[in-house]
Amino acid sequence: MTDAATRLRAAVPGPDAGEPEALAPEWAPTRALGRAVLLTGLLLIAGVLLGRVDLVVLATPFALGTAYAMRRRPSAAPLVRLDADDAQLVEGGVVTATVTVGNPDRVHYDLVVVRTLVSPWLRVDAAGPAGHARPARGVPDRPFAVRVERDDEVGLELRGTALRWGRQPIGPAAARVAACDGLLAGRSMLTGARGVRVYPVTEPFDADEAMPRAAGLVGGHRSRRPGEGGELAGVRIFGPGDRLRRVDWRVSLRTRQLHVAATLSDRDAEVVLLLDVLAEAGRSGGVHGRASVLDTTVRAAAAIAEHYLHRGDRVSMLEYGPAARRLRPATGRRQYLTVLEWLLDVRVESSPYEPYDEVFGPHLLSSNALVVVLTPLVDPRSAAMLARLARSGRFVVAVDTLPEQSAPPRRGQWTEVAHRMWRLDRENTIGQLREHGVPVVAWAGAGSLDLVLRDVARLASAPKAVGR
Amino acid sequence: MIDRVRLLRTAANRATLAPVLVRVAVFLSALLSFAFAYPVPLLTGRSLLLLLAVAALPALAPRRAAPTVVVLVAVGGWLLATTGYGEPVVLWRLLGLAGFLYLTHTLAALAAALPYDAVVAPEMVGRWVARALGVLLGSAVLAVLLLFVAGRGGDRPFLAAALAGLAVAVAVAALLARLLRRG
Repeated sequence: MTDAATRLRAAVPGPDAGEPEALAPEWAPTRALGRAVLLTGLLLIAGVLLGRVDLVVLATPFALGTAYAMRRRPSAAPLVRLDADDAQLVEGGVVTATVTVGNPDRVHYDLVVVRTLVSPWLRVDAAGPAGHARPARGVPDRPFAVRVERDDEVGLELRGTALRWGRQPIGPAAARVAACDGLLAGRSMLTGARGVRVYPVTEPFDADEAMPRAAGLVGGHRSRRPGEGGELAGVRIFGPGDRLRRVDWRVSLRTRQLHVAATLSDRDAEVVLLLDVLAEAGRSGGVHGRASVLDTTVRAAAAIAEHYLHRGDRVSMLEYGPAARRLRPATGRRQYLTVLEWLLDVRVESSPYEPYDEVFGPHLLSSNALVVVLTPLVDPRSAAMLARLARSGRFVVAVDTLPEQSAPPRRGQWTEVAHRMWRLDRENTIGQLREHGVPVVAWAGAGSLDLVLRDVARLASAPKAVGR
Repeated sequence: MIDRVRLLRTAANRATLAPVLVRVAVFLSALLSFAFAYPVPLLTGRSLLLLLAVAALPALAPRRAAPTVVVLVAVGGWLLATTGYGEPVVLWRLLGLAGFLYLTHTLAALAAALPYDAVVAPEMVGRWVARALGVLLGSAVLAVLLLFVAGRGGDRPFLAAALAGLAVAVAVAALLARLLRRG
């Protein structure tokens, strides 16, 4: 749980430091106070001028009510605090936030109206006093009107469901206080917004195929180099330095010469997940609804990263966009958590310019890495980037993230025809990419990449001439 | 125009019961104050429709000058009834008028501070109304005392009113001055 500071003060004391805070801006008279004073005055003057006691009687409740309400005036501003549950939250999980309004004054607040803005991707299911939240009907951003006694605080709880990954803001929360029977109103107190981290759900993903080229020193993949490992490479004559436990006794007895079983060393591999953030398409329906391009990209990236990190490979992330964010390659559970955190900030950034080649270029990618590009292939620059990577000798697999049902809004009778033509053109581009050795596969969860990884591994094992 | 209709529809969909009830109470208080203030002949026909419309104003726009207008219209009706139509000043009627005028004022203050779509804690409204009833009780006692003093004055109502008004005015001025000094 975290707190949001409610009142800001200058870090460096001003010239009037030490003076009590000016109260005038905190509490202001309302129209009701002006009305009460005006009516009291008018009725009294009229009563005196006309000699009517009844008019004085009519003025009495206004005078008495005002005097009673204003007998003690508030001086301190209310304290507002927004707490949000920062526990690790996944799409579809329960999120809880509490807005607390404190009254440090010696006068009770007759009415405190608390309003909190909530991200549309956080569906508020229940709201109300802390511990007694009731199912919320309809609109989640309803204000709450409560009374706060002096030296007391009231907590309002919002409980809901996180519908989509990302940093979903809760807040700012605002509280407006009325005291003295509504004759004085405090200025609105605001808290900062809290970003609730909602991690993407990882669709089950599994790839049985071997990596095209393992590169590291340790790992779970057999490499092409001989060494200490579990994969049998062959049997050869014993040489100086061979370990005795490697001696193949059956072959040695048969040939009457010492032979050892040669193995291939186990190596890890580097997987680069390249996220195309140049364009978004489709409308996201949250965790249980349709997936947009970005939804598929983020969820698939999380699933692929989880799979390879679990197998001990090194995974790095890259954004194909103007920001060109990148995450260094690393392995292990810590890297998985870092990847999830990194994915929270993925957003579409369209730009008319080519993503900067020095920041994002093939020379920055390890030549042995498997580059998985998650792209909707909407922007022509994405296809060009894939072709460039393939030409530079990288092992590239493209995952098509464009939803099947995505279509532009209908703007005229030619929209459908134009869309169909664009689809054909896109199919053509995908075919050209395949011809250039870039397999393009639609994301379908577990086993999506098996077929294409097999092809890539076969290509990797073949001798290859790379044009420089 | 279409935007306004859409806004109204959204407001109708979002409105909650408690703020609507407070506004209905403002309307009823204003209407009852007119019923106490105006002579019976004026509470029929077109004038009744007009009074209904005026009574609805503070319920619809409690943040503006409508509550003040309602109180002034009611006081005008009271003066008309007691002077123009020669109706006698009866205690229950005067207390009823004073009470409903104050209720209109204080409930309008509540309605002004309460958003129409708020989820309202019932005890908040309960305490507000209880305080208003306490003020009315105290005012009723004061009013009876005032009228008693005025009645003892015999044929000198002008003097009694002047003295009472002066006393209340001085008290209110002193109170406001003290409050301003403390503020």
